[in-house]
Amino acid sequence: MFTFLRRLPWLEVLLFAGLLLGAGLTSWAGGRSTILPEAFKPLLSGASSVAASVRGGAGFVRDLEALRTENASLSVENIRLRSKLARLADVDHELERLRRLLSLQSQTQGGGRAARVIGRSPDNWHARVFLDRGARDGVALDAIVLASGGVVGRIMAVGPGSSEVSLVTDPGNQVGCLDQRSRSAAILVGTGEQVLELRYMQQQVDFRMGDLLLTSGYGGVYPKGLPLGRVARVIRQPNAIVPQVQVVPEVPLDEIEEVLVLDPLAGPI
Amino acid sequence: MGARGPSATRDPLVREGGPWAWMTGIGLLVVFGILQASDLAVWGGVRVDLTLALAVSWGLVAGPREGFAYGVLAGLVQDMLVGQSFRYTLVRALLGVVAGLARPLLNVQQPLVILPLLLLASMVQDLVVVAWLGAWTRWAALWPWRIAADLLVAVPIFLVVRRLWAPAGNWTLGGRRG
Repeated sequence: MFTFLRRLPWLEVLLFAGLLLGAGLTSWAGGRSTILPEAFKPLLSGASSVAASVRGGAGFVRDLEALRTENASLSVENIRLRSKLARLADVDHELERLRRLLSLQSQTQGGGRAARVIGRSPDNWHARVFLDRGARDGVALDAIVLASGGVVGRIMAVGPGSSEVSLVTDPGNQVGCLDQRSRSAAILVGTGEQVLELRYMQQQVDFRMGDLLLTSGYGGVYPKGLPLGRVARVIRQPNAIVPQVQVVPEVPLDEIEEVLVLDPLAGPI
Repeated sequence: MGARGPSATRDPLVREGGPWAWMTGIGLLVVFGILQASDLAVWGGVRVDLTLALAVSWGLVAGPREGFAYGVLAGLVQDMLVGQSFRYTLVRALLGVVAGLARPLLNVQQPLVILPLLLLASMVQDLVVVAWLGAWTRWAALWPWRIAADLLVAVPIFLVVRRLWAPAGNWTLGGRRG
């Protein structure tokens, strides 16, 4: 009775049913496409990350050599720019010092020539510096040397292409000075130290801490009115006739690099 | 006990020197003098005295007569740079002689032997120059550092001078070779 069943093309039927089922499932799942991604979101994210890393890693390996080369050239460029920047900062400072030096030169109403410090006294007891300008450049004996800020010293020896300056702090160096505020006069004496001493003053002198001392111009060597230093300490001993006055040079003498050598004065001003 | 080479039997006190040693020694004086006038010689605020170490080493290695001659030269270099009249020349000539006279009494194989001699030389030189200038306050503040700086360069300079004076000498670094 069921022999007709045996004659049915079962394979085709099964295929047809499968197609129908598949189409139905697809249609059902059509509106629910985010269920799986939502359920496995962390897993998906992780997998995506891994894939991206693998892709990125592959790219990194590919570009490593190019990056290394670029890094090396950038490092070199960085060093070059840094050194250039340091040089420019140095030039900037030098410019500022020279500008101040020139303003000091205008106070002296004289000429003068710029010089560089090329050396210092080879012992610890003298305060002297060597300049890169000598007789060939017009530097003469007893010429006054200035730096930005004030008096440095005077020329004590001249060679053809270099000269030696005895700084105001050199032991035995003496400069006549005036207190800018009180006009008290004294002699500023170098002691070989960073601090100078005032000597040979009258009893009624008036020196106070912070007072600016200027060259008096009395000796005929230093022009009048150049800054020398500031009073750092005034010590009044009970039995002393005059106070002991210590003065700090206006110019940091250990750090001078450029100076201005004035023409020596013809005679007392 | 292996066989000793020709240099091992050599008397380390043998006088050598010669024109080459003197010319190089004078060249060293000039170079060290210029170096001393530069900021390179300022160590921790004090200026190291390279030429004094040279003069004392030369006297100790070469003898009193050579020490005197080299001391005069070392003093002249210093006096020319300082711009003073023969103060350093006189002191260093004397110190060169003293170092030379100490030579037979000291073991020049031991490099550290230069230290007490240079300590003495530094003190004597300072006393003369500082007394002349009256810069006692500065000296009092500086002398320990100054002498420490001098002693620091003394041994290397002594080794150089020793090798310069007797290039083939049987010198050691740590005492008498037995």
